[in-house]
Amino acid sequence: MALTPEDIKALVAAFDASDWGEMSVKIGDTTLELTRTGRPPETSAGRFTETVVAPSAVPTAAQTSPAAAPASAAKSDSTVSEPGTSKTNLDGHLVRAPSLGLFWRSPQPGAPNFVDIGQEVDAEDTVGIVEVMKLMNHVKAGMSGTVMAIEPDNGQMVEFGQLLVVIRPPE
Amino acid sequence: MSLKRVLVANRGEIAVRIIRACADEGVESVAIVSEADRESMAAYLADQVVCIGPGASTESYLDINRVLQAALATGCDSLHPGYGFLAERPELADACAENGIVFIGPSGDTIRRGGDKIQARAVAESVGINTGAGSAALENLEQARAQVESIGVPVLLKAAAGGGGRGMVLVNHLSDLNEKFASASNEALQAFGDGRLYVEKFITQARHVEVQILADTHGHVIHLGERDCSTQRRYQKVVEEAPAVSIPLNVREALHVSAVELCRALDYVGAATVEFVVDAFTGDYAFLEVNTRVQVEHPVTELVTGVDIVREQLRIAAGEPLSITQAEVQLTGHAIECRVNAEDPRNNFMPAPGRVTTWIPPQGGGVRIDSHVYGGYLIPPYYDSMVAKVLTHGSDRGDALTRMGRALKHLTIDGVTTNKDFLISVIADEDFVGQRHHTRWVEQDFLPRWANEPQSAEFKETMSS
Repeated sequence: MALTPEDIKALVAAFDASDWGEMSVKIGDTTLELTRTGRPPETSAGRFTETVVAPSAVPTAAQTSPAAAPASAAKSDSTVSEPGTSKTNLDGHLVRAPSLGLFWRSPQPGAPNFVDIGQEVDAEDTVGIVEVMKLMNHVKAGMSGTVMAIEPDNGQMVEFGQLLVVIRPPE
Repeated sequence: MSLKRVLVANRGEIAVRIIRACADEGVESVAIVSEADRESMAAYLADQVVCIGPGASTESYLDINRVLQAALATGCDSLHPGYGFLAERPELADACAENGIVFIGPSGDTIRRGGDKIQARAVAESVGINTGAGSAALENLEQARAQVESIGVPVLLKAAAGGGGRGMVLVNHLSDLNEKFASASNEALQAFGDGRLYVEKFITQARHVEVQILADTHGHVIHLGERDCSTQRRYQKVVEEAPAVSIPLNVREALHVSAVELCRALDYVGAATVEFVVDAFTGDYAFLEVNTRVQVEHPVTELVTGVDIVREQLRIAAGEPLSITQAEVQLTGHAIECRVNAEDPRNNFMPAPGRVTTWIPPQGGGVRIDSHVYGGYLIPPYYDSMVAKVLTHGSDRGDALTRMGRALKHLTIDGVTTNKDFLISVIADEDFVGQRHHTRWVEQDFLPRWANEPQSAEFKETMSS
């Protein structure tokens, strides 16, 4: 037997309601793996280095309605901590590209950067722009803290889900 | 000019098909994928891969801006839209033209004229192609009666605002018209908030026959013969074949001429399919619509003609002439395609996405598989459920059918439920073998019978041998 979209939706909802970090469900030959930790489950061999959480199983409704989908939202909002390590400065809030596009660090050429490394930001601050065919999507920090890293170069093409900025929350 | 790098603006088997044709033409391919398709076969095979958005197709494969941005950011000079998604959206063709990217298909204007059913019917009528007996919206019962008397029963009363097969009432006898008109109008009002009806001649046993066209920028318009796609369920094609041997040759030749004339009238450039409905009893035919893209079932035509339709699309887009003339198009044997879907025919064909644990496709002896599936592949729940097109080619229809029976039995796909057993039963059915099937046959005749069969075709064979 196989999982129906309804089954998957129900399982994602159950996962959301729990305080678990990972969930693996095996029904017949089908295995569904969900995780909030910002990395793929160890069993799935990802071809891409930037694999994001809650694999391809999150239903459409959850994708389009952020309020209904904490599990999928987790990929951009959750705090990442490596299992087995205490909270160190490796931890951070990962801001990811909301879309494929061109990454811009400033509102226009020559203007000052939105943010630089070491800068304090608020959740509502813009950390960069992802441009899709002249459409300037402002990417918010998502939480207040200190900018630890800015990954892409100015003007570089970024893919959906690609890591843009790492923010360390205040102690 | 020749193309250097093609953005493959699609997913699934057609993305793989396009990547293959690009490689054969010596052109680089860039695959766009949604997050759910990062591990897709297209992602493995393309020269370059970019992830453009999440699994929901509205934020990935259906988002013109993201698709175009991906083409520009990766230095593509051209874009192949495949079928479905944005393939027949004139806005994409326009946007490509505005940004200096060659759209591998007709211009936005041609898509508007050819793809719009009302406009295409007008062009067809202007070149003398029958578009079928029917009426404009009916004012009242008296007008309906006059129409039905002039067309002759049986007729379909259809809701002007309807679609997808809803709001249709069949009238077999003129004496039933009063009652049927009232109930159809009532039903239309309830379902669509609009009680207006129109009447259309009902063909009891209709064949869906379509002609494959190729047209280049040098004024060459050729046809590659026709396909019979009469095996449908809910207007979705299930089995397709070429040539349409159940239709008399003179009718098929008339369809070819009509299709070529229509595409000339549309100043068409690229690959097109002109669809017709043919009355299985009388041989009368009527134009249905033009599809301005490559079709799912294009490989049956490739098998009988030896012409690679997707490579011809790339040549046409590059401004090169077609590689073949009409006189060089020769048909050899017969080809059949079965669409294998991850769905459960015993449960109202409910889609059944999931992980494919074992995948052993049939091989050799006139078999072709167009698929994006591999062992361990997760069929995502966002998209259509087709997992493979199983095709066979034989010296004649009987030979191709025998090979199809073998190919489907040799297809092993574990982990998900598929319609494989349903397909095996369809192609072995006496009506199908004897070509007595038509566009409503699967639902009207075959499925009620099949639903009462407790055992699969494979199981029965094992028992009887």
